[in-house]
Amino acid sequence: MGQRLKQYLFQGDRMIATILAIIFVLYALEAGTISRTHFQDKVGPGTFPELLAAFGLIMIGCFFFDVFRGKGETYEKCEGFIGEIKGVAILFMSFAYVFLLDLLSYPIATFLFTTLAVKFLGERTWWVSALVGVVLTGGCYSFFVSFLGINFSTGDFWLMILGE
Amino acid sequence: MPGILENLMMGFDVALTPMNLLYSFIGALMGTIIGVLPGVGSAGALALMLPMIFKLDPVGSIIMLAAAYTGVMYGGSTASILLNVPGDTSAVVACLDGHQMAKQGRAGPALCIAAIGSYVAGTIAVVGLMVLAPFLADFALRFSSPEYFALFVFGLTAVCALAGKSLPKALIAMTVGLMISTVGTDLMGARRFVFGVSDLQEGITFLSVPLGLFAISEVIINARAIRKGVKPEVIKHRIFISLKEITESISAIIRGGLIGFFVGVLPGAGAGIAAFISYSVEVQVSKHPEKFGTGIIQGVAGPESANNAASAGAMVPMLALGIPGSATTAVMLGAFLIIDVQPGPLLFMQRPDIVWGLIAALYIGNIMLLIFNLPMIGVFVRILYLPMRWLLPGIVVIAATGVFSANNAIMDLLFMCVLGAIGYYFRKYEYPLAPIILGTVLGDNMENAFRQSMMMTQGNFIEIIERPIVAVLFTMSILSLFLPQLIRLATKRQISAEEDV
Repeated sequence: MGQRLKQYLFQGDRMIATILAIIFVLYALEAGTISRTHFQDKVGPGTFPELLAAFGLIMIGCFFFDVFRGKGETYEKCEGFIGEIKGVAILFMSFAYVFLLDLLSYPIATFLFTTLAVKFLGERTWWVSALVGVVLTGGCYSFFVSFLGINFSTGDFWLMILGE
Repeated sequence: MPGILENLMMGFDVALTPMNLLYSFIGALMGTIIGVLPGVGSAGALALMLPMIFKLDPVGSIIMLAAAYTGVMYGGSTASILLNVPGDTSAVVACLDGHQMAKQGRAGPALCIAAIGSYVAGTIAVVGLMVLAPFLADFALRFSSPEYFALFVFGLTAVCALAGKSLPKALIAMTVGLMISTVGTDLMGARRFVFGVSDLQEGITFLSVPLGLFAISEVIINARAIRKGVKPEVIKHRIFISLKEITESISAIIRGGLIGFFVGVLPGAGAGIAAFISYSVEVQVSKHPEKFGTGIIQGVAGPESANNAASAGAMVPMLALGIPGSATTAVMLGAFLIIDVQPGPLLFMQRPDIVWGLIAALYIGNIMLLIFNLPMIGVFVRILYLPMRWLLPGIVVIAATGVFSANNAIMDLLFMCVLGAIGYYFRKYEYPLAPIILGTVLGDNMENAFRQSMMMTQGNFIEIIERPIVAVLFTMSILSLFLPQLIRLATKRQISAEEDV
């Protein structure tokens, strides 16, 4: 029974639907704390989100009904937790890049990210990776900062070192 | 009509001077370059060029801005087609089929049809702008909140009905998009789903949604394949479009041009919505709706034409009534005010040189785009010959820089990465991404229209659906949602009945 339930709720596209069902419920609970009326008006800031959550849950119900009727799709088996994490390593590198942007400044973080990512994705030598990093960083920096005048973080780490 | 032609001739007299042609060229070139980059967008691009107005003559500066506007519209789709990195809302739809075409070695035809479609639809829209401007501006004013709400419902249902194999999955994806749009401060100042995070008060920056869902998820998929040792297929990219592809796209371009122009006229609707509506109409009228999303040329031709035509359509309420319908036309309005010209009903009489010069400039801007972009397609396509291991980190950097430049907030970048993960798993398990994007684009306006409609009618929804335009749009929504399902069911039954016989 437990195995069947696991298969029914957590395999392939059903896993996404189950996670979304939980998110919709949490969203509905939060929406419930927002006012449903606004002064004399019948609708307030909470009305639309509540309707959305209800609609989303109905659609999740429809989806599982389709699955129950045998219309569900089958997908290739997941590679397990570790395999899945390894598969999306570039995403974790992107998260690290975002955190480093504020800490190390735009040019340094961008250079580090591009050099490491190019090497990670199979470039044979470090110097080619570094060269790609320099070109990409220089190109983006000169266009966005010099031409378009957009300000990027100068890096909290360096400010800390300099004692500012 | 003779009066219109006379005025148009005067407009061309103004726009065709060597100096104004140069301004038009500079505008189209800068617009295309800035449009390719994510984050800046058409309003941002025009705002960046605004200081130049102080140094140029009034007519020349307006001509340059008009050409830049058309340039941004085209430039945005180039990055969408080649790299799956949409530069702006209106370029998101180009990712759906345009990038698939590029993956099949047909980046050249996709870019060609985007340029040709932009030119033809731009011409349709300019003619519409000349002939119908005063009448349409009047009609657009009949659209109040209930009509807008019904229009947004139609836009959403039309896309959902044909996005992917499963209707519930598409509607779930749409709900996710609408939910994203509810984060932040609402129109009455109430904070929702902010959880005490100050960066969330302004809501989630729109650009992080398409860039996360499309660009970052694309990077994850390709990086995963590289790490698994899957050798990227060596694709020889075709540069030129075939005559067959052009003939297949003609009707989509004309439909896109008309849809884009009329949607563009509606204040607040914008080029992004025009592109989405055009895409859903193309799916509905196609004999092969199942091929959309796999790299069908009509999926690029229609929306690309629509977004370009919408930019000319958006000029109608701005010129005729002095009401900017979008952020971009608001910047244009600002430009008019800087040069001491007040758009409105009297503008056509008081400053015909500016109005007709602008209309002629839009037309010339479209020709400039065609002349400038068609020979450049070979250069653009060469980007795809770069090794994936170099290209993928570049996509992350460009996307991150674009998102950061929109709001200077690290939180937006985190959202982009989270949405990248969501996009990756949604694509893996065949949940369509287009309804999420459309939900996010329309959510804010749709909720505002819904609430204003309910206020107008004291909460009586029946009163809303009794309005003629609303009734028509709701009927179309219901039909677009259920008709394809019923047709599919009927066809299935017919096939099984024939098999039984």
